Amino acid sequence: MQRRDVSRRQFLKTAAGLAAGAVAFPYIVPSSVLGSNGSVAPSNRIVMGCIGMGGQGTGNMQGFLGNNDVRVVAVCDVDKRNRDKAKKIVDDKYGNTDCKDYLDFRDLIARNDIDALSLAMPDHWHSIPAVMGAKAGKDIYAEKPLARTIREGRAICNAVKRYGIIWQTGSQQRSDDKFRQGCELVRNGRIGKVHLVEVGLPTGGGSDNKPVQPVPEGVDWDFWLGPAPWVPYRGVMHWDWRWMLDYSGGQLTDWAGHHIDIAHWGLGLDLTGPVEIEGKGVYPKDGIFNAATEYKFTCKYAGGVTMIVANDRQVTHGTKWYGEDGKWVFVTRGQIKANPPSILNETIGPNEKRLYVSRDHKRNFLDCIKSRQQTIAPAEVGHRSISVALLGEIAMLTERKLRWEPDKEVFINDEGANRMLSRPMRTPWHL
Amino acid sequence: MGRKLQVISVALLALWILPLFAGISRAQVTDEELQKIEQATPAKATVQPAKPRKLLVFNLCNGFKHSSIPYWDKALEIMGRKTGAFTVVVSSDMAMFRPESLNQFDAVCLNNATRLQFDEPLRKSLMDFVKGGKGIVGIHAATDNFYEWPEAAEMMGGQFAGHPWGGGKTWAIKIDEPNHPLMAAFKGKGFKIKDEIYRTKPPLYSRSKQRVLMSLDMSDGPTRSAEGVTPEDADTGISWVKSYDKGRIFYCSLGHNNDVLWNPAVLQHYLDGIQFALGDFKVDTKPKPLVSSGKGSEMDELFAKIKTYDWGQSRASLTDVSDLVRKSHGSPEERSKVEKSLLEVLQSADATYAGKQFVCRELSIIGTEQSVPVLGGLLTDEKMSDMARYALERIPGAAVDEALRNALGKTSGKVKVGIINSLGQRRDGKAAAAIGALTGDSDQMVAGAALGALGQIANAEATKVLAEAKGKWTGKLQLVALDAYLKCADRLVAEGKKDQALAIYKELYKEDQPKPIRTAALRGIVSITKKEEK
Repeated sequence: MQRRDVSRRQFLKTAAGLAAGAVAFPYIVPSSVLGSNGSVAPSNRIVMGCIGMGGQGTGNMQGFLGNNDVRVVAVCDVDKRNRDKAKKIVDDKYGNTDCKDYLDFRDLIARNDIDALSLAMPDHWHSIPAVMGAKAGKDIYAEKPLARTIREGRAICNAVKRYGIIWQTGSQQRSDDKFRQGCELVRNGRIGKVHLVEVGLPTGGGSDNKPVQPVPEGVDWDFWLGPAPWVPYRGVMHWDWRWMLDYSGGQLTDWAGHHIDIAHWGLGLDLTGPVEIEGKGVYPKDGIFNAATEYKFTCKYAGGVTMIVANDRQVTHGTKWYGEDGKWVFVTRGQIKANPPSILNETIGPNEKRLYVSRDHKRNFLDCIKSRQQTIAPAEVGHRSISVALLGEIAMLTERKLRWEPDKEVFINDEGANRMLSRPMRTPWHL
Repeated sequence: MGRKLQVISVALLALWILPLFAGISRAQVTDEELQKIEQATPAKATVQPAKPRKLLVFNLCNGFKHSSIPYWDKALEIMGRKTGAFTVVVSSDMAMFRPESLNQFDAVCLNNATRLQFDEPLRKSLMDFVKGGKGIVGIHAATDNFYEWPEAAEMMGGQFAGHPWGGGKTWAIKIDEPNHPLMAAFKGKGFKIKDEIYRTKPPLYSRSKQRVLMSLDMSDGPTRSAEGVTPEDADTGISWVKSYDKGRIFYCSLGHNNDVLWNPAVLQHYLDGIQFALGDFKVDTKPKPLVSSGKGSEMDELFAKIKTYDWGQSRASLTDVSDLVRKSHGSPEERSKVEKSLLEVLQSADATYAGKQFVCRELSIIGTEQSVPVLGGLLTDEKMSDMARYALERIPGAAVDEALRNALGKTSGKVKVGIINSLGQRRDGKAAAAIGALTGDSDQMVAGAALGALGQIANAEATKVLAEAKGKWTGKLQLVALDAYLKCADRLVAEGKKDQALAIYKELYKEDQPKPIRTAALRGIVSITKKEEK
């Protein structure tokens, strides 16, 4: 953890020679990945299984298929339609029919020949396969947000640490030059001492009350629900699960893993959290969607920095750090701005703080599997990013000002809010 | 410094003089504007006056002076003339409150009058006037009064406490009483209006003391998110009526902006309110308290809806109950009342499963030991067990642990697994022995859950069970058991028992152990030796 901010030289040194003894914790490299240069012999490929074959999961899998040191051997989804599509993509790529498809992720994780997992499921399904995969010693690329609750996120971090696996959170903005540039400028004091950071995320929407309807052919609805309370199928499953609190926290938790993550990175606060949270959300009073559509909450950090997180009707979409004398840096996808604009022309000197450089999020994961180095978006970082959104969610749902201990991860003097840090799971699921 | 003071005193002087020009400002209402007011004013009285009615329109300001005052003076004059409902006398002379002057009127309209100062004889005069059966009409800033006269502040039903909703923006208003006669102007539909809205805080403002007719609609994003809005503003009344002894009070917050005066619906609402205050329009003034603090019957009505709720239907009543649950925070009596109502639904034979599930979700947030007997009883019910646990797992207290332990022996299969998981999640040390006994269960699912729970509990008892039986498990359960044993070692480290922990790690690092377990064990060994080096 302490080498998150490695200088380029240091990084090269450790990457080049693990014998230098700079490894954070002991590891046992799967035999299949030893030897990472030159052409890739079958025995040296990273053997991968992909769980969750919706749009994002399939996209991630295709990204991995584009690396010739990866061999995808298994796909898994509770919807046969997704499963079949994914298997076909893999088989077409390799020109055979070897890719095995699974309904039950436990069967995929139980395979000893699989080195790494790519996970992309609804948020309520994030923690269980992640913890199980870590216990089986698999390295994991997993979609953000890290988990649906803070306790589940902590369980993932604990398992990752205990089993010394490589973890990459899908917060791919970290592997984008513009975001890194913005963060480096802020970290090196180019706008002076930062007192405020604003994070603008998309605005949500409502819906009607959808009637109960038959489960589509090929879908294991009970499995899809997993640890969430049982409810009948009402036509909301792929993609739209995001707007329902049982499965996700709406646009807020969808985007927290991006712009809040970047805000933390720029502040150097991505291993801690706020100490005070207060805010308001607009929750649809009717209709099947119940996640906040509009939201705005304020987080105070121990060092005195304030973070305001709001939907983009209230705060501009992106991340904006405010420093001294009216200086600021703003960054969003495809755009970086500053006041004064000349800040953007500044270079970072050799003795200044350099942030971790990655230009390809998936490649960074694969390289780290081989080097056993920390990835650019490790579990703890992903956990702290989504924690901000989850804390904001609890503050908005309780409509109370909350005080938080980032080290112990408990609310101070608020038993009611502490109850919301975890969610009881439907049997037989547990962490 | 001296110069600065001079500037300030000139400014103060100007502020002080400004109201003196009030008379002049009356001329500011242009003919065109008068015409708009004339057009927007209702054509006839809503009810025929029982006798000629006289309204005192009082507009003195010792505090903030609203520019809409002359507009209101004119509008009320026009309203009286056009409808024949009343005649007006406009004044800013406190002497009008002397009994001999006051008693000729049927009601007093405080037209944005602010910070009025009543001496003792005038106080008695006004109170006698109202309590004896006359009326008060309050326009907008009428609540910016009586800071040193609590009785009168109480009579008004609220007191100015800021206005987060400024006159430059548009706010949403919901109709709380669509069927109330005074609300006919709005045809039951909420609306948006550009005007300044006054905050009037409890306890002076209270739905238990007055009948609130309309209020800010906090489901509207901009209204709810206005700068300075706090959770306490959730109920911000816009207009209300109340009976005060034999007298009648009508107040409406609208009327800060001049152009509100040519809004036909607002003028109709005021006419109706004035006719009520004058004594001609008989309407119901009985307060309708918020359900949470109110009469049992309304709460019963709401919870009755929960009993019939099913998926696919409107969940508006569920939202109302969730609001009650949230608002009960900080008031043990309220909370206990809401909890009892929730439990009643849960025990009801005719409540739907969807309704009961909702109840369990809410109990997970506010449930106390009061809920344990009912929820505990449902643990053995195959259909309800999951949701009973959903509530119980989050409720603190030893009674919950005991209920879960009691259910352990009475259940089997998936239901039993759920109970084991909840005990593990709660890290109930007292359950370690009973759960330990289940690690050898013939049902693999039960054995696996028991091993996982022991890892969560990770106390001495759990460590002992795992140590004695390790090596016994094969296949899928092997990793689960060893993971649990590792967690016990981690716990020992946290407790400072490094030697014991090291022994476990070394055991698990042996070559015959599965690879991931060896990795984790090695990490444990290194972490201990590293710390010792320091």
